[in-house]
Amino acid sequence: MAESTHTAQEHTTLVRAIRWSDAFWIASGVPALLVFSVGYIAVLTGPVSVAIWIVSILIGIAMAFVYAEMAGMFPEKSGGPPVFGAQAWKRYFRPIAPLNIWGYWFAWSPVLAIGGLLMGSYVQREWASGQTWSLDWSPSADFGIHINFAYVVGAAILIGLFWLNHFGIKESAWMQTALAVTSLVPLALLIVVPIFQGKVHPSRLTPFETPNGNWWSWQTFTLIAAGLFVAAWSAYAFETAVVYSAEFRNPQQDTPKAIFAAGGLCLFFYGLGPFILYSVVGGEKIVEDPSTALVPLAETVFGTSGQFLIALLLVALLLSINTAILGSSRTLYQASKDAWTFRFLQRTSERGVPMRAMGFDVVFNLFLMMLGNPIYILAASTIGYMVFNSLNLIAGYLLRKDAPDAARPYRAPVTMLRLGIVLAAVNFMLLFVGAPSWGWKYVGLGWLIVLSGVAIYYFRRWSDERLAAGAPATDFRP
Amino acid sequence: MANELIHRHDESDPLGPDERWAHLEPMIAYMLFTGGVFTLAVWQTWAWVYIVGLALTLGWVLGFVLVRDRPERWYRW
Repeated sequence: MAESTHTAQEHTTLVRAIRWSDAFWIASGVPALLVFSVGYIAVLTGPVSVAIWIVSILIGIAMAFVYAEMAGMFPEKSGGPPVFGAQAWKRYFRPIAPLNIWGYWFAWSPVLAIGGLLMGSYVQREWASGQTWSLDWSPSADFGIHINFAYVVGAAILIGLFWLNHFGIKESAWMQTALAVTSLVPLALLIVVPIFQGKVHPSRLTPFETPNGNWWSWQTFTLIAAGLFVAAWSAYAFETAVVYSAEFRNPQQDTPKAIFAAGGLCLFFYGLGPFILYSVVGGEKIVEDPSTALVPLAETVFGTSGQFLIALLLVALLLSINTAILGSSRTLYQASKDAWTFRFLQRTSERGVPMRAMGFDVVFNLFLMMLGNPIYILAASTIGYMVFNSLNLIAGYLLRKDAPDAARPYRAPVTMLRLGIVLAAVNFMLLFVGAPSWGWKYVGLGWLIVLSGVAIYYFRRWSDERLAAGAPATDFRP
Repeated sequence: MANELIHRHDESDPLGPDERWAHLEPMIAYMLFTGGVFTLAVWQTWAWVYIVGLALTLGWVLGFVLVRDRPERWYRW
């Protein structure tokens, strides 16, 4: 009898099993996000892309001060900065809270789809070039549904990672450490070795201007905004280190350590990586295939060992996908616990893993991958990320205003909170000026998914009111 | 079980009583309007609309700066 009661009991809590260093390794997939868009931004903005990445990572680090303070205030909450931001917004205008959270989730979750598709494309290009079959349905030239070899490989990877992560957060952190050491060391070598080989030619960055060749035009302004818009999706992303506050053994101390350590790692990769790529390979070579821009760099630096490096690049992509699946599932889990989204997502396994949230992530991305082109998925997803970053920086300011005396293990300098407001304005401007350069259809798709978070919140509220009144539960039941 | 799933305030709230320092609905409306201006600027590539959008964004930031000693409002709301 006792056993059957135990079996019937449903778990809704996470386990405090990791330290800041574990979160650092989980977040170490973020440098690999550079691979996703470095080529496309180089094509769009030319040598100026190098400066765009530096600016973007510096903005990300400045924002980390605000997010670190916010995370320390809510040591019992998992799910990262949007969950903390929701606590600030809910007393001012409640729909902003789910918008903030859903925007963040939609920023992170598509890493699964984009990474899966990229891995599939790399595998096809290197080892299965004969697999050119494709099932397509395209209502217009730049928008359609595609199932091909890359999709099948990507889907298998997502399902495999879903299984591997069911063991628990500690086991996931070990796996991330192994993947990070395997992939980031070669990626770092790819950046450092050409300096000593004398293959870095800064002259390739001249003339230092966007492809349209005119600094003083609104088109240039829009191009730079478009570059900064998509770069943000990768360069700001180390904030994921604070997603695991509720799983830290000592959240007050672990939280700021985790985010600033991850920021330092990203400063190296994002500050130097695009510069090395452009000054070693040159713009003409990148234009040939922006989706695999690091391949010519690997071939130039390591010569014939190109295939080996592709394999390591695949591990780096696996690392970043796993960073995303771990983080975005926690965001969904906490959002569900806080009643911002579907109720069923708060259930955890006996090992304290939010399996339903993780499963939701995987299924959503199996559909998203059908869109085919990774950069367009990325652009749609960045809508969510910039909505979140704009709103959440304001939330950091609001929290200090509303509860100046609340316990804060880490207290950001007032200057950084004020700078946060300025950066909220910058992100807001990039959201509207930068996004359309990647295609209005994908901008529309991004907004549609982000705004659906508000509709889901109202559905959840209605469902909770029914449940409280004694009516049967109304929710998605997967 | 049902009660557990809808009871979500088991953690302590570090923010304390529900007190606002400002009414932010006008600010949200202002942001939506500014976003619309930027969208129009990009869509039509009208230079003067870009300038209006940037000026509105600057105005949004100033809404925080100008009330430093009047903590009750974002601008006058």
